[in-house]
Amino acid sequence: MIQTQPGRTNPKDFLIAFLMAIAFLIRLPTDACAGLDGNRTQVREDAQKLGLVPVSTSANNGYTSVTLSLPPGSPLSQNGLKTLTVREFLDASGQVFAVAWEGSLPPDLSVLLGRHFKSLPAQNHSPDRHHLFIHTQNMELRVIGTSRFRAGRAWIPSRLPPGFTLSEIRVRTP
Amino acid sequence: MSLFYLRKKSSSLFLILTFLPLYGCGGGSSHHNPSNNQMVVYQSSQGSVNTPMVTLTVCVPNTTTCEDVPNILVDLGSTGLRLSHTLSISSQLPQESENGGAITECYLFVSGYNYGPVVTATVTLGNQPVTVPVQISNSALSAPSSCTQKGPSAPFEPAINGILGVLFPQDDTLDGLYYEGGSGPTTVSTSLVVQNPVFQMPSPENNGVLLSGFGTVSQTQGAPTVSGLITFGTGGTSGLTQLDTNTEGYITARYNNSNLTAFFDSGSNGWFIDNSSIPPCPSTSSFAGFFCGSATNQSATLTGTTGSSVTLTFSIESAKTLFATGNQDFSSLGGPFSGYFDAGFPAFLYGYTIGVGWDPNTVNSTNVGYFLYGN
Repeated sequence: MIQTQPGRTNPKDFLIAFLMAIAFLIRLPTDACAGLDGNRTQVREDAQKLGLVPVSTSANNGYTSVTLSLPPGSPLSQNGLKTLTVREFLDASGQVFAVAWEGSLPPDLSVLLGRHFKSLPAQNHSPDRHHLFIHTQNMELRVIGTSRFRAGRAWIPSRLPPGFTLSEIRVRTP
Repeated sequence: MSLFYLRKKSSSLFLILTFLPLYGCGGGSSHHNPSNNQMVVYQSSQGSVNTPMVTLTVCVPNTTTCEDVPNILVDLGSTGLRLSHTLSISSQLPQESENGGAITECYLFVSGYNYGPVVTATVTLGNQPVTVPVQISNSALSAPSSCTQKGPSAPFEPAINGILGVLFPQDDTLDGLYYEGGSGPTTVSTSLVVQNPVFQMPSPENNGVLLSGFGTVSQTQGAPTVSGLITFGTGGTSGLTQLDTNTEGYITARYNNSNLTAFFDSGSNGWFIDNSSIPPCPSTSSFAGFFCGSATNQSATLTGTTGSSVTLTFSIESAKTLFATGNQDFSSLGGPFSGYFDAGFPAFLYGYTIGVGWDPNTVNSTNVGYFLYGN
């Protein structure tokens, strides 16, 4: 970002800062709604926030999916020891209705769940440390795994395309 | 949340006292006489089902200030010892620091995060005291945003006082987010990182653990309680099959004509498996996450990366039916998860020994270990 110091602002810096502030304000609402309920452009933004890159897109019956993965040499991968793959599912109108992820690197759920992140309970009191089962009014969230590897999926039940089965919400095809 | 079941403490104690002497095959605690490298593992008395616990003596290093801490979860699915901030010993353990800043950690369980200071403690495993970095989970602290963005907080209280994570490798560098003086995430020195205390045991007890002796628990109704043993060191493994894991600690399962990602995990309270033909409990019910239908004579073949395999036979019974018994340990409690085969604590209730192990000389560079299964 641009550093502005009192007494040293020149007109060019000011103009750039002003334009960036405008751009930031325009971006703000879209940022808050990426992940679930996001659109195709926002999937790319999600990838950036998570340190991932889109690696493939597939068209299925009534939906398309975009797979995001750690780029080769990413510092997040810690020389290949850490993995993360995300798949976002978009309906015919281009909106994300489900996400799946898998790997040893836990993703920011605040990115993947988008505006639904706020509906998570602040505390989960389940003594089962290796599952997360959350049902909210508009979203279902499931995660399984050990601390070394985990797989998760979240979806909006009211927005599943006709004929879609929940077992399709996964990173790798069975 | 939905994946556990609390009942009144007084009634569960009453059930234990009433039924234990009459119960023939549930593995009563009186049968276990632990050797020097063993400790008794018992069902939680704090209200959650299928939860194996151990009592650890935790001391301030080089002092006689100690506390016997009951209800520490024995967990094959995480690495390192973590204690609740509610224990009186927790505030007396010396804080670790580096570069002038107190070290704190955000450790991410699947169920949520635990955030708090990293301290040093001397804990006794079997009859062996070992000194290791330990995390204090303090749900009263406000965690950094890099931690809270991962999901909900998962406090230990009220169900457990701590977690003894015995999964390899030696420390949790790969799993935890570390902070110095509140800044981070950053990298801290290896010697200061939370460690699986088993690695500090003298050889040959530093190469893994076995869980055994829980008996064979009824698949139709469960047992009021169970107890068994944790053994430090996998020395007596004749008769056990070694299933090597990949670098992320899992093996594969063949179940219901599907190939699944598999692992053994004493910290999971059910069989979480890919079987869409067994009806799940409604997601709005108190049994949400479990199966509410039953299936007998189930069979799964678990295979390690080097080809050896074992076949598990088991049943699934409706969670509603099982919880109605008032029992606390169930060999047939399970739930759906497509693509996965999590052999949780119920798998330990079929009379077999299950363990996790590693080569102490290579595991920290390879991240590869193994599960053990047999009798």
